[in-house]
Amino acid sequence: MRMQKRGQITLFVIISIVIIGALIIFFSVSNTGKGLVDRVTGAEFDPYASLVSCVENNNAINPKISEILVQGGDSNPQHFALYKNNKLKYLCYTNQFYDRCVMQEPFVLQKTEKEIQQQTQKQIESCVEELKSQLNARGYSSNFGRLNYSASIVPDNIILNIGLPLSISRGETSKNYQTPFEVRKKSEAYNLIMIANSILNFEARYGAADIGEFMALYPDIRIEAQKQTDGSVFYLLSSRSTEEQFSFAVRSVAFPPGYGL
Amino acid sequence: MKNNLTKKRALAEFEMFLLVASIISFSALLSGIYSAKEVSAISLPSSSAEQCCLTTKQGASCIDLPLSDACKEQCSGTCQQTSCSEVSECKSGCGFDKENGLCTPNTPKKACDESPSCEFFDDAFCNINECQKGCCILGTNSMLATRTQCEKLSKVQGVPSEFHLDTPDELQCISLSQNANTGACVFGDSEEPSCKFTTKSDCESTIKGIFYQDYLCSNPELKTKCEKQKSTSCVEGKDGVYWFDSCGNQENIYSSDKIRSWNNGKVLSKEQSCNPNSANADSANCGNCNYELGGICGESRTGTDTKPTYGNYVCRDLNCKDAPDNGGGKANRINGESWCVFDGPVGTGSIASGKSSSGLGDILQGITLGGEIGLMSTDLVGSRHFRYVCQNGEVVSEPCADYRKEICVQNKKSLDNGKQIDEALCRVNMWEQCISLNGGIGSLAGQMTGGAPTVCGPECLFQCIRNPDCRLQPVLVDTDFWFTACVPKYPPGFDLGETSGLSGLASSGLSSALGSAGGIGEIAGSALGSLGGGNSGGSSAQQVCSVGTQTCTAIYVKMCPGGWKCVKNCQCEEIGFTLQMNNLCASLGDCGVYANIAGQATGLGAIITKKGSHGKTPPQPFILIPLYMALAKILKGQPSNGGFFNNVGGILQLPLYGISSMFGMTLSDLSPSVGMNFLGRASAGFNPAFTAGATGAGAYAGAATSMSLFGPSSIIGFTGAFIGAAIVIGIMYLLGCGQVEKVEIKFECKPWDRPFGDGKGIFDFGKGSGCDFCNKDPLKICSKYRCESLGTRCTLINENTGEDKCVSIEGEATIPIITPWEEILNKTFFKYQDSSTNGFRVRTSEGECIQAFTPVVFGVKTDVYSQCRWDIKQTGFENMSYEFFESGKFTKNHTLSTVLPSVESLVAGETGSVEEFNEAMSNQSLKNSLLNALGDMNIYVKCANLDGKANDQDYKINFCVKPGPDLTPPVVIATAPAENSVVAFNATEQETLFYINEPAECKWDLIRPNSPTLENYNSMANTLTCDTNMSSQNILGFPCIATLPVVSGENKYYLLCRDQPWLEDNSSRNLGASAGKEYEYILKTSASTLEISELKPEGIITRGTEPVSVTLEAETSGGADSGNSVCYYSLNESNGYIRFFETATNKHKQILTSMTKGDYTLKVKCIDVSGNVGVKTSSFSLQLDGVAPEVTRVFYNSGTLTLNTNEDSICHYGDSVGCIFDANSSVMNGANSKSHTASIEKNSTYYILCEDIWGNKKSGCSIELTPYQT
Repeated sequence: MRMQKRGQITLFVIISIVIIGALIIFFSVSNTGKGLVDRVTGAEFDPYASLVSCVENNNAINPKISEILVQGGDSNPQHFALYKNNKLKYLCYTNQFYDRCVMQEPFVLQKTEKEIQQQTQKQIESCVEELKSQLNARGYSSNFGRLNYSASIVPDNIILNIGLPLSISRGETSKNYQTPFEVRKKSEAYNLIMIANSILNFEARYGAADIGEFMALYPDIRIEAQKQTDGSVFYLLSSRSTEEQFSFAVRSVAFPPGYGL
Repeated sequence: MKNNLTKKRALAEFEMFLLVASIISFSALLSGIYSAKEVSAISLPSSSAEQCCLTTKQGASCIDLPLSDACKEQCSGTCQQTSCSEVSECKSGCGFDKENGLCTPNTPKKACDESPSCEFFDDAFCNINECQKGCCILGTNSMLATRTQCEKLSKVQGVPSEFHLDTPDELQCISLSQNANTGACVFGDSEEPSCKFTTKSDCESTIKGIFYQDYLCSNPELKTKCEKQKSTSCVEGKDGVYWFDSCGNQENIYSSDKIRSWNNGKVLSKEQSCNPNSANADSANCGNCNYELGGICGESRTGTDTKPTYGNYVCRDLNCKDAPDNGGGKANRINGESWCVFDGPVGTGSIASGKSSSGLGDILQGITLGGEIGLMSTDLVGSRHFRYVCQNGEVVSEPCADYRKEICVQNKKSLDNGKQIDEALCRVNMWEQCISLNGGIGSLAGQMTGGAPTVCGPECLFQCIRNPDCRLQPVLVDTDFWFTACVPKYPPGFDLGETSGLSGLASSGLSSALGSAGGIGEIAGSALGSLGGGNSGGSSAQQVCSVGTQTCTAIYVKMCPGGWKCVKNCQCEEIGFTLQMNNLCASLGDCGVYANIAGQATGLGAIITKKGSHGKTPPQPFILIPLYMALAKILKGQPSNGGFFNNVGGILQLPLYGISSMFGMTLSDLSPSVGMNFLGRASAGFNPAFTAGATGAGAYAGAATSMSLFGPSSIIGFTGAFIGAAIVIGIMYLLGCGQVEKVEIKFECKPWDRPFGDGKGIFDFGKGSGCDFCNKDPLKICSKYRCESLGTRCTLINENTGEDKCVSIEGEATIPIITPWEEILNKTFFKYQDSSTNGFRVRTSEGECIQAFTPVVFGVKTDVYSQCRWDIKQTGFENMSYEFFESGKFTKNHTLSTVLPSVESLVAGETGSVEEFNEAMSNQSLKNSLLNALGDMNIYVKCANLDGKANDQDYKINFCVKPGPDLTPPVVIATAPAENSVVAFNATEQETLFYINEPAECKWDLIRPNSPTLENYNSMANTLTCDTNMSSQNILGFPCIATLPVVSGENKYYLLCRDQPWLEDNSSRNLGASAGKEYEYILKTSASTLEISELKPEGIITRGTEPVSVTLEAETSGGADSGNSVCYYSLNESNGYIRFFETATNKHKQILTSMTKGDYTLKVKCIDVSGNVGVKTSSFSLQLDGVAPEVTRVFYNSGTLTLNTNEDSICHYGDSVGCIFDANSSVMNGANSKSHTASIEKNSTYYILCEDIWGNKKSGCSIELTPYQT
């Protein structure tokens, strides 16, 4: 009998724990639950913080950026060399022998920024949609302006600049958000691209670049130059600290085998 | 440390500049060489030789494509009917990114136009003010950057910037930021203030605190809350481990001696910190890391790094222990150290001594003896130079360009601590000019037989010694056979797939070109020349290697008593000849008998043949195989020093040593003798003087090209083979005492032959492992060249993908089945007869024997890819002396051609006088034996598959020469220059070459003979020099040469030839030159001389910065081809002329990118296809404007301020005291002019700063205008 009572208590305790756990999850994770908590407690919801959190935790953005960087700043290069299953974009190219290459992508930094913006736009938009559902669930009525999104690559960071004019209201309180905000992602992309730019300048001017000196100057950057039979050189730049890679192809002042008549 | 690094960087960048500058100049000059050959070999390419594709289907911009359907196929838009340099969208310039301040040289205009922030400048090298770099100081960091870039970074990072244009040197730049005062910046609560360790400017302008220079924040005098030495960590941009206080501020360099490190709360310099002259790698007690010496701050890794006494950061060891070295050795290397690694021996090596070694034992013994005679260039076939670098503890491989287009050179460098390390770099191999230096190399044979002492003359010797990539190759075989040649020290690699790979040879083209020659008719030299197959491997390899094909003529005299005795060049029959000639051959490139990277040597790259009944053939080169295999294994690669590149001064002095002129071609190089030197040794041997004096063009060189393509083995060798021992001996026995016989011993140097199959040979000493040898070393990436050098079955898959792998291809393994090649035979004149599995006969279409001196082109087919050889005797494939036209290529179609001799010509060729000839011809048994021989000639063919397996049973091809008297008159087959050629305007004479179909004597006159009678022939005024020797014959016939006088306008010449010269005045000799009549040959002079109608620049050129880009432009008119010509310029005439980068039309352009201020006189010479030369001089002065504009006048009128400057300027104005204007400031009207206006308020003070177009401006204001002044 005593054993049965203890069993019942244990059962009740377990059921209670399950119910409490479910409630905690409901109120802390689900948008509806959070909304109920907000309404009851009157706590203010920070839509930008929610958006930043969504962008930072989006698992698709970083791979997209990595893919763009490893392909010479282009998500889908047309003129490329296939190297270890990566399409290395020809950033400077000539099909002639003994000729300096012609710059194919003069603004690698800008192009890469644009590519990042275009390739991650969907992820940002999905975060905006998620924000809308969160606001709805929390009982807010919201009015979203036009999403103005861009990416900038600066020293030590890739900055995702998000301009999203927003006004939200619940009950008698309403709030406007106009100031653009940014999500910073730690990145060596700027340094990698700047070194790539220097290499390209040397290639376009003189047909060669000495990677050893670049590596001596930038200990944190590893540079490989894979010279190919056709005269192309694949430059593979990587950060020793963040493991990010930026790679591209060049064909400049190529020599034919033999006398080259 | 940073100073040192910076110093290194500055020097390194300068060296990089010079190195790469030399590369581009080399390439530009090289292009000159090739184009010069183009001029000499074919014709001037017209400007429409290329089409410009703005965007290819692959997305590439501004690509020049050949004038063919390729452009339509590859281009996504319309193909512009001109080269990209002439298309405005593709005009190359400097793209300046206005937003980020970045400059991109050599940018097509259209790419710039597509970006709104791009500004396009004409200077493709970006020598413009906007791209001028200065020192950009951002807080405690500094870097070289453009002004715009510096401002952008300042904005992004939120730190104030300083830009110093007068500090372009990075060393000074870094020191500027390092000299920035650092110390404790105290701010906040006065009771327990906060503190930040920073610069004075940051403290005062940003933090608004009180700055204590050289104080640490933990200094008790400051009474901050920061406690000293709470943790350790790394600091960005610095090498060492640093202490940090409790507030997170950097303190001094970590040392376990805390008291000394804290330094009483004051800053302690790196030099004063612990153990300053060491890397301090893995030191538990000292964090004074030195990157240059191999130490850098990093978190201590368990099991890898030492655990520090305090904290968790140490100096990580970045040096490389047991790094791979040459010959399988290992060595410890310092971080940043670079060194050269090779596949085996490189550069000059010595393999043997003694010029008359009697056997292989002597040769092998000679390996250790060295000596001049054993010298050779030793780089192995398939080998590559590698530069290894120790980087952060790992060895990184940087391969130099394949085919040994680049070589690795190495120097010693001293570190700050006095230690010496290696420093290596890949640089261009300047091998090509070594061969071109041998001005007389084309006439080697002529010079040697004539007894001339050297091939490389005094000028060649002088230049050869000075060029670090050339060396002298002595060949000292006998007192009358010795010479010195300038050869590459690092011989070039060839496309082995082209020389001995599976062939895609254009057999149909060959068939049609040669098929038309089945009968007697004109053969266009250019058509044959075009069969070379493009630009690289095969044909050029054969041409380079053929330089090493030489003939030594030994002289035998019949002694009575005693019989025949050798009296001259007798050593040419010994192994010393074989060895030395093969050393020369292998030093030219991948030629001759030599070994590959796996140490396997092959023996089909060279062969020795003897023509003559006496003496012996020296040992064949394949006997040297063990020697070269041993050499490949024994000799270890030794890096050379940098030559002219070993220091900055050396590079700068390059032109002074005449190296630049060696790269470029002098005007004399334009003569077709350049082509002849390489390509046409038949005529060079015939008459050296002709080679030297030849100035023709076009067809001339084309004909020369065709000669080399057919080569001795197909024509001369064919015929010569039949002048076999039995026949000649018969003649020689007829001759009496004191008679002389020449014995020609020919060393034929051919492209190196790949090992058969997958390269797993019996002589690999266990070193080779077939094709897989290429995949074994991850630091030596496998390439097409390396892979193909290992075996005929070795091929590279996944090429250029990073997953390249050398594998053995399967298939084509059966023994070849040989059949007649019907399509190659001209069925109008010939047919194959009695064809069976064992062979066939070649007969006329009527089934008769072939008329003497009729060219026949025939061939065989094989059912699998194979390499075919032939001989007149039955022997094994390896011992067969002669190759087919396809040489070492594996193909299914194999071509041969021949011109069969007559009995009389054979006898005449072997007798010295009419009497001897008549005596020989009167010997009926000899005559019959000759008739029998010519009436039943067989050649035996064997073909080997990829594995070297050949047909066991001989395949026999039979010919016969139609007996009977010669009833056909001689015919002129080809001429050089071609008929109706245009010669120079002021030409007075022209060397002309005529090819006659059979041995003949010829005369010419300006008056047309009435008929081809003997009387008329005798009355003709001038005699041509004709070579009637059978060995001088090639596919075009027998050469005759004449110097024809030229007058202005059209010149007509008439030729008549008389065949069978051995018959002397016999009336049965046939007369004629064209269809039984005289041959009319016309030359015309150019309508005018060639003139350089326009040459720029002239006068004064002003720029703002150095270096200055100057565009040299010339326009030519007149001459033979409406001004189309090739132009050269010279900064210093003694160093020769350099070809314009853009030329070969009537407009010529050269951008000189590294000019500095000064006065210049550039001489420009242009030459057209006919040899017309135009000369003009460009004089200009380069001046630098480094002075800010001055305000010369200022006045106010009715609200408008007018300001005049002494030079074109932009004037900013506003109320900024000190004239600190940004890009958004107001600019007075009249930008880039001398007069500027602006509407102003009369009662205000205005600050005005004017800046000229070079960016010169005053440090303050140009002028301040107070209300009083206005």
